[in-house]
Amino acid sequence: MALRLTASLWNKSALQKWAYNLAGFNKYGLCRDDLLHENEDVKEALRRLPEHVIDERNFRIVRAMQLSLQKTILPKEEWTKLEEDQLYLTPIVEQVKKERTERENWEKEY
Amino acid sequence: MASKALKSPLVRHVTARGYAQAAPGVKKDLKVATAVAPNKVIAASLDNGSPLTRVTIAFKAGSRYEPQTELGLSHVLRSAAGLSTKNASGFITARKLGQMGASVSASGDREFIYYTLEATQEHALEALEQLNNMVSGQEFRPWELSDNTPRLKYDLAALPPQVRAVDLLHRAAYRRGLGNSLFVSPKRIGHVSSESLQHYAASTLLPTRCAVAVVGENMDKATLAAQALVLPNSAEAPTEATKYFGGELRKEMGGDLAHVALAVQGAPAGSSQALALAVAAKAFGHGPLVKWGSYNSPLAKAIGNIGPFAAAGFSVSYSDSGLFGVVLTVPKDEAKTAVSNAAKFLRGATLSADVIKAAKNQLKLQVLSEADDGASLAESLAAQCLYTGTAKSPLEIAASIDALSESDVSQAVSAAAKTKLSMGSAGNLAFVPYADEV
Repeated sequence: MALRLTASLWNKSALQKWAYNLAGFNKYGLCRDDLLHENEDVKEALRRLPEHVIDERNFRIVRAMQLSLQKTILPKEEWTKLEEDQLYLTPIVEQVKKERTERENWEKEY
Repeated sequence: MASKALKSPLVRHVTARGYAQAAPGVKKDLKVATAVAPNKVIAASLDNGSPLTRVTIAFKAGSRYEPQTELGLSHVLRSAAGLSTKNASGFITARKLGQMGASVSASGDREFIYYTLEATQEHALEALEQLNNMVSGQEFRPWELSDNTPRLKYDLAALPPQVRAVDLLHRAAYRRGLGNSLFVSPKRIGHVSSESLQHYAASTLLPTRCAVAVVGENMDKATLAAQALVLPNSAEAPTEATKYFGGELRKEMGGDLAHVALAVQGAPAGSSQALALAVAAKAFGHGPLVKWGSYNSPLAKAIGNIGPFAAAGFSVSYSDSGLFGVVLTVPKDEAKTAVSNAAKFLRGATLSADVIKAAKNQLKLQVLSEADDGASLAESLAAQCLYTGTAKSPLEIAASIDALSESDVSQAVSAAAKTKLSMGSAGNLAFVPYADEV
């Protein structure tokens, strides 16, 4: 209960916004899900995304690398805003994890 | 759970579809019970005392219901059996079935798709639950569909050319509906979208288009199985009435052999003419009956002494039409004589009393022995339910074959011979005559 309360307070709070901006990746035009470390689960999840979402993701990552190389950041009006940052990958990663645990549990049992 | 579409040789399979049932040896006087479950699914059962339980869930979802813009859907649909559904992941379904020693296969023809389960009696209910999970609430996740493409490619690569010839024959004879190919075209593999599959499944996998047949259990279990199916009540796919056009399609594939299927219009399933034509197809002959025996069927005699070749009569029946004819494989150089002679024979076949008598016995043997395999018995019971609303027991079928008179058979053949000739050919067609030349 307390955890849920904390989570609901955290979501869309000013504190989250402050932390989001502090992290700084939004200045490169990246989204949260662009930063996931590409382990097996994430790779599988990426395979399941529709093509246009992958294209957009690749564009953001390439742009961020270019900016980093040039030691610069985007103009402020192009920074990613927390409200516009959709978690396009996390739900799929969760599903992949669930499938993996289901598999592992079965292997453990039989 | 691989696609079983081609498990049995086509010619043998098609003659049986619609009639085949069998007399299992253990019990005498077996009765097929049929009923309509409260959710409108037709249930049929045949308790033959077998230690194995076979359950077939069949849907009117075969290739004839495919829209012309989305051909190949039914092939992809039957090959998608076993993927994750709303109720269970593909992994768990497969492992649970494996743990029980049960097997599920999906097969299909132009009218129906069959999901058939085989399990020992003690695990039947548990396995049935998995089958239900597999059939209802299919999701067709795009990434699983794209993982499934090698299976489709394999299906196509494994197609014998005779099957291609018969497929082309259907296309030529019916153009649309029944003319739709059983198989997805190679160019469409990987391009059949999840949405169109979902739409097709939602309009064909419906309780009103479903039959459940149980072999090895009583009617209570069959009704239970039918009621356990949770299927949506959405709008049905439109059914186009079948019209026989007749025509010709050829596919040049090279090689040394020519494979030709010739046919005239047959009779719809369930009619007495269909049974008579099935007898006639047997009477035409289907290769030597004795090992190393000579090939002296009327059809082979009509084709003449041209060296090695294979020829068989065939008869297929669908809900509103049928085809009756000959499948022929000859070396390319002899194709002209063989095809012309076979066509002439099909046009004016006269079958002697002895030949018809032998053919009746052969058909009875085939019907009964095919039904000895419980899985195909369950499938044919389900098909009969969807064709006619009820199913006949194997012995009843054998009895109605017995009851056919000589004139029934010859009348059916001469009536069929008056319709327009259709032809489908594949292989090396250098010397294969066109349909209007024979």
